[in-house]
Amino acid sequence: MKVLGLSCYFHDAAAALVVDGQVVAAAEEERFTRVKHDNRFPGESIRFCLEQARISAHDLDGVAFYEKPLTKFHRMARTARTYPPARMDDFTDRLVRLRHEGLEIERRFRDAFVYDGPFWFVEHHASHAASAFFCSPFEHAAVVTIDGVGELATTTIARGAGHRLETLCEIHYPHSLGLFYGALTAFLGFEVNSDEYKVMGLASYGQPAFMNAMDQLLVVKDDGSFELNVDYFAFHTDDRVMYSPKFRELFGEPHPRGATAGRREMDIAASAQRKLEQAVVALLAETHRRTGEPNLCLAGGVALNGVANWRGFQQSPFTDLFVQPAAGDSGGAIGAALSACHEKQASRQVSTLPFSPYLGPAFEDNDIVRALEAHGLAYTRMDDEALVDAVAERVAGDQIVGWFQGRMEVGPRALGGRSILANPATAGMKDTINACVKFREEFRPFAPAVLEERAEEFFALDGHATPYMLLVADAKPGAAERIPAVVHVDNTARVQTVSAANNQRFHALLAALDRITGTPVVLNTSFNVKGEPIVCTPTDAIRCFLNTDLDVLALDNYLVDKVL
Amino acid sequence: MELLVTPPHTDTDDRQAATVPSRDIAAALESARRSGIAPAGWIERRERTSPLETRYVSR
Repeated sequence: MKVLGLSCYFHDAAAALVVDGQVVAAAEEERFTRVKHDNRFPGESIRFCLEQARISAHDLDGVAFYEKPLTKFHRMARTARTYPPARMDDFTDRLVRLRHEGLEIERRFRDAFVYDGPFWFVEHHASHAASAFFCSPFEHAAVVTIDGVGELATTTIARGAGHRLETLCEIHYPHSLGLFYGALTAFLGFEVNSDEYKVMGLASYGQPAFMNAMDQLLVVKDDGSFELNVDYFAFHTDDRVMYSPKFRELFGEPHPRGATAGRREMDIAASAQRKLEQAVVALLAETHRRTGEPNLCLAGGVALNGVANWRGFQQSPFTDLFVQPAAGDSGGAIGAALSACHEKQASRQVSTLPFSPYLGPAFEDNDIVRALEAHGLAYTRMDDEALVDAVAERVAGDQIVGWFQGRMEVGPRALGGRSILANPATAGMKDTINACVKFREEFRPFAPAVLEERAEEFFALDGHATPYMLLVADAKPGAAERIPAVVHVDNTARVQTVSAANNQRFHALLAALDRITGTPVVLNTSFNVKGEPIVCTPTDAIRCFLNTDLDVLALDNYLVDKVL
Repeated sequence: MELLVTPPHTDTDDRQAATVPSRDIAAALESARRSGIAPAGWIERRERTSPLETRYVSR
């Protein structure tokens, strides 16, 4: 059975193709259009998914959209009735947009791809839940989804067993952990639905000095639910503002976008992060109480907060954890397709292999050579082993490498498919990459990728793998001295554990680095510059290589050294 | 527990017609007019899944 999943019209549009219950292709639209967080109809992603499977839309058994647009329409209308919109023109524009986009997604797809088969609608949070549970290695599990808002729900608790996934209970808009954190993100001068991870990074520099204020914004209850005090927010009345004048009375003037964060911003970030963690801890305790399951799956945009994930999981009775790497809305396309597929097929084969996030395009040798020659670059073709050794030597020698290998990752984290790699043992490497390659804020940390079998030597993961860089764990004593460029100011790290089963070549590179330096760790950051999507094609990678201070480019088996 | 008012399931009648019928839009608006904002706290799901064929959540 072949089902195409779609997500679009809010943020991070994407398409995914599921064949007989397995995800065979998935990619965000932004990677093709080069528009960050592109939310438009994902025509390019759809074409990629169909081409990857060598099928046409005619061969599909169904298409699944990641939300129920009429319920979203209903929610917007009923919110306006309770909280009159501050700007009626903005509100009517949004309703008209929803009328012509979300409500017409079926017609749009049928017209664009000449399709006359079934078209289905999966609830937004059911899509998130399916993206986690059906990609997990668990036969049964508790599933928690947390984001800004879908149709009505902002948080759900579900239970998955076999091919069944049932939502037990939910918390509705406007009570939302995603919107709580989003309002703080906006106040701190960052972009909502994009820069929340920057708040998480900034939080490590601060003290939770604003907890009294946070307690007024968000009340966490004994039953794991929470209540947002809407008097402090404005997102429910105004599309352009997340917080109200009362919010500003608590915290003062908002931090200007692009300005350097000071003590107050660091402390607000630390307080917001602490409050979110309190809510997640309570939510996971209630989830375990309701389900009694040993396994936990997480998805939804808030599940990209690796600090809250790890703290919540550690303080819960759950014994195992799976976080969907595309936990945000792009993963909704994966979940919608999986949800429809398992409902219609009424069966599920749990994969013995770990879920692969490498679901995007790969390129042939002739594509790579053509791109290199079009840019006049001298290159060397190497076999697998020689390439890995050459890159490891360059990383060990403090060169910064653009690493473009095989299929592109889905989700916001670079996991060794489209990564920038550097030596984590060099203390100044973080500042060098921030200033000369990524052009981003100096407070932002870099993440380590480590051989899975050696992870406990550096990070306190209690034996858990974290292959998608979605857990932030404490560094073990001595780690900060050995790999200073990837241990954050609070002695934590957003770790990626790499196994041969998940990514053989990346694993081989770490092993080669270990042979040279005695440290099986590499600094791994996304292959892009600030404000741009992660590179997709060889040409994207070459442009990034030429426009930054990257020293080396490894395009599959082709190695390019920058000649100064 | 919130009593959620949802529009009637008319769009299943028009499953093959890709465009959402105007009467469904009108029903959603009328339903919104009659229902308030959600209270805080857990809302138990009476129907734990929603039919794939509909554009709205069915409870």
